[in-house]
Amino acid sequence: MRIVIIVSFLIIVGLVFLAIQVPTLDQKKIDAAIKEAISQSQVATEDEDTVRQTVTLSIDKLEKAQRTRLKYLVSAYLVIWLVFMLYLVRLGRQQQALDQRLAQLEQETSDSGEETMIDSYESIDRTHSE
Amino acid sequence: MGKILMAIFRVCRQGFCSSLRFVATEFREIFSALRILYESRMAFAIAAAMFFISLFLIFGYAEVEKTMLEVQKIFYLHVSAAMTVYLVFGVNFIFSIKYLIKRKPDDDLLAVSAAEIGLVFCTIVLLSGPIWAKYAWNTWWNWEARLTSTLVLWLMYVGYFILRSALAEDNRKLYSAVLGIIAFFNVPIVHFATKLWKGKLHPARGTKFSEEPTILYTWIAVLVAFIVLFSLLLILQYQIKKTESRYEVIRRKHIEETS
Repeated sequence: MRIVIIVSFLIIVGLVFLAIQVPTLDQKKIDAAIKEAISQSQVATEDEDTVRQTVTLSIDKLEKAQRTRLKYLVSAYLVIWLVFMLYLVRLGRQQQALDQRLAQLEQETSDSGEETMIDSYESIDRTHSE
Repeated sequence: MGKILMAIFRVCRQGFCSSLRFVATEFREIFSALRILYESRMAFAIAAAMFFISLFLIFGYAEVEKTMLEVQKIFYLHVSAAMTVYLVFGVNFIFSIKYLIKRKPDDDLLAVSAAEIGLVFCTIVLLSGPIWAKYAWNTWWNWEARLTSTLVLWLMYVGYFILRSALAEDNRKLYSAVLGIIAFFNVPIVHFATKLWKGKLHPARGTKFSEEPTILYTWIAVLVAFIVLFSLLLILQYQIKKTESRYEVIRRKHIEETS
């Protein structure tokens, strides 16, 4: 149970980490692309700054939108993971409590010199199958 | 294990009908083989491997959908969980009917185990849906037909557990079986809600998400992983509940004998 929780938690942390690391475009590559586009088109060289500003603003806007989308994606996966884990923990605790109760009962029955739990189980099984 | 492989091999070689005949005749052995598989640690390993594969397919194989972009990846888990909810509550429905006919305590245990898992999956649907809705519709919740009917479904099964805890043991199994049957009739309402009330917000069946093969295959893989997980949880939950009921019998017997 613990292994499942730890491994799945690490996967979720990995996902969050990947989501935060939005690949940002290299500024040098952007500059080179703008220069190339300007040289190929008929934009005047004095307009180069305006073009650069517009392009940078658009890229920022796109990256911000992507970050928002990834935020939603990671939140949804985190919520789903949390629900599953809470359920698994509950199952584990249920099982643990049951084991303790069974051990206690076993102790009580053996103290009073009655049949063992295994004998009782077998007799119940026999009744069920009959 | 061999029987399961043989069944899969027959499906591939001879088609569905003859494999169905094979499964019907060898059902007991296949079921016992599946049970042995589930009782071993191998089942956990299979479920874990399927989830790793699913995550790889979601983030590494499936193409990014063009309208919703990355947010669409929520759908793989959201829709698969919703489909599993139908299946899980279906199991609860079948075992509730079986209990009413045969009055076997085991059927009640299976029905309640399925209802508990169904509630978990339904909670996942209800929690992951609003996150997507906030991005797509700019609102966390909308009283649209499918959302409302899913919430009603969830509340009905919450009621199922409240009823079970409120009633004495004699009536508990009988009344909860009746409620399990009634609550299941909400499942087709949830499924056809968008058609029945002509909801415009929730995507109807057969939307363009399924047109892209990589998206479709990934969704099928996630759905299979969810079904495997459900079966595993059902067996786990059933075993715990069965041991609990056995414990109660032995404890009562012990109290009677000592007094």
